[in-house]
Amino acid sequence: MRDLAFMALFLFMMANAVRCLHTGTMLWAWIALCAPQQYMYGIGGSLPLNKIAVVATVISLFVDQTKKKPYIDWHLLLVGLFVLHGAISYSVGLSGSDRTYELFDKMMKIYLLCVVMTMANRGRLQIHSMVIVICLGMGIHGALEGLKYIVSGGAHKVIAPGSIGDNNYLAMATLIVMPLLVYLFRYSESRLIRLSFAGALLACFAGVVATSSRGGLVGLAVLGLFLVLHSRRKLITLMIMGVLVGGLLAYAPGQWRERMDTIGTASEDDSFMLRVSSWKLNTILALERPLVGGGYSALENWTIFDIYKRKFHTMDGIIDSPEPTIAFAAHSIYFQTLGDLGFPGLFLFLAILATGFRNVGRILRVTRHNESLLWAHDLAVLFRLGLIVFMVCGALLSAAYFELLYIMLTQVSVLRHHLEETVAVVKPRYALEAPDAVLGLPAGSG
Amino acid sequence: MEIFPYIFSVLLTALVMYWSRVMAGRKPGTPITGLFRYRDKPSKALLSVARRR
Repeated sequence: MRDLAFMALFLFMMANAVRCLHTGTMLWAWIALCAPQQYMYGIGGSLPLNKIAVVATVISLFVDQTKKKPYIDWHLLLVGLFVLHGAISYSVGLSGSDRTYELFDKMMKIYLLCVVMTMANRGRLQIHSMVIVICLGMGIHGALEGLKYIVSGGAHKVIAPGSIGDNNYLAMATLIVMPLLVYLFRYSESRLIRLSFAGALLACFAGVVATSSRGGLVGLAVLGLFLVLHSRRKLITLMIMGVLVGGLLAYAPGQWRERMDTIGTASEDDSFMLRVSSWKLNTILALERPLVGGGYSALENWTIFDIYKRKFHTMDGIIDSPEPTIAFAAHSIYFQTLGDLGFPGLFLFLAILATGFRNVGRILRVTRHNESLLWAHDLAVLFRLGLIVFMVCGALLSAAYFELLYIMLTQVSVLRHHLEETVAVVKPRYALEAPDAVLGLPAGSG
Repeated sequence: MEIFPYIFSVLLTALVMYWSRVMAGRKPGTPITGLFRYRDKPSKALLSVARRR
């Protein structure tokens, strides 16, 4: 029954996607983020929905006459170089496993989506719609788990959807989406929709707690801190945070608290020290193959792992950690790109992140004196918050090839481009004497 | 039980796509309307707080 309901809705989405390019990119991004197949058990579960969405978008490229020419900026250039470098590493890499090909294929598709997004999502309507789709696509996983957690009174044990990974990834993805839910709550006109997004925000908060992810708790603390810092009504935001934290401490199961207590003793924690071992192995691999690394997820291949495990002792003396016994993912976006793609890969990845911050800074400068562009200012600030959460939580996760990051950064690039195109024709409606103070930001934060 | 919020989410996604396509197809300058319409500015309460500061 659920498959039939989904298929009917999917056909409706397809009909919209083939007629309009930006709707096509919305469908593509939604399928990539939500992976709805995993919630179906019949015919819907076996359909290649991603490929169908790509085909629909390609058709709309020819049908939609309103599309614009793609532009190139630092973000797109760097992502392109990152994908190209990944392709070179893949072709000369050590591992030829299915997982390696899967990641290579995934990065190619992500880049294609980014390019198409620059042709389609060029106005506020398209940007706003895409933000909703990101929240619906990625937020649904965390919100669903949060609802189950609330209904079960904290007894629900989260099993993260296969498309995302484990609970830590789910916590990170949910945390990245939460600032965007704040934006939608703030800027949606309909009270029903605003309340829905507020409810989703609460469910996502419960979802992060439900994952029992220590990285998630750290991310939650970072998110809370920055939300208060950027809030215009700090007292109210602080009070809401206080109620949430109080509720969490009062109702969280003892098991959850015990696990969170181990954050302070990371150096004694086996799980954390195994990550350190994995970082060392990735560094050894990068030092041996500095230009191309081992290729996507090379060290998850047992044969490659066995070769580099024998060289583990070369890192003796740099933080004591146990010798790894099983092929283990990098567990850090930074060491993942270092081991997989070598030093150029790490450099390009860091440059992509830095360009995201640079684009946000540019948006803040452009919108500073214009009250009618306050929405863009707020959206940019909240995108930046998502990026910070990604960089903090990602330090302990292998999430460098996470679709959400590239979709989000492309949205920032598109927003910047949109503002640069329109700001010349939009006259300030209300010039502000001290824009930073008005926006509740520290002076010079733009 | 998870089916209800899940289907609700899929339904919302389909509606957003439809709304977005219809709104994009209107003449330039036509105000954005419908369930997912957005505010040009934050609420008056937020703006007054912003101006006071």
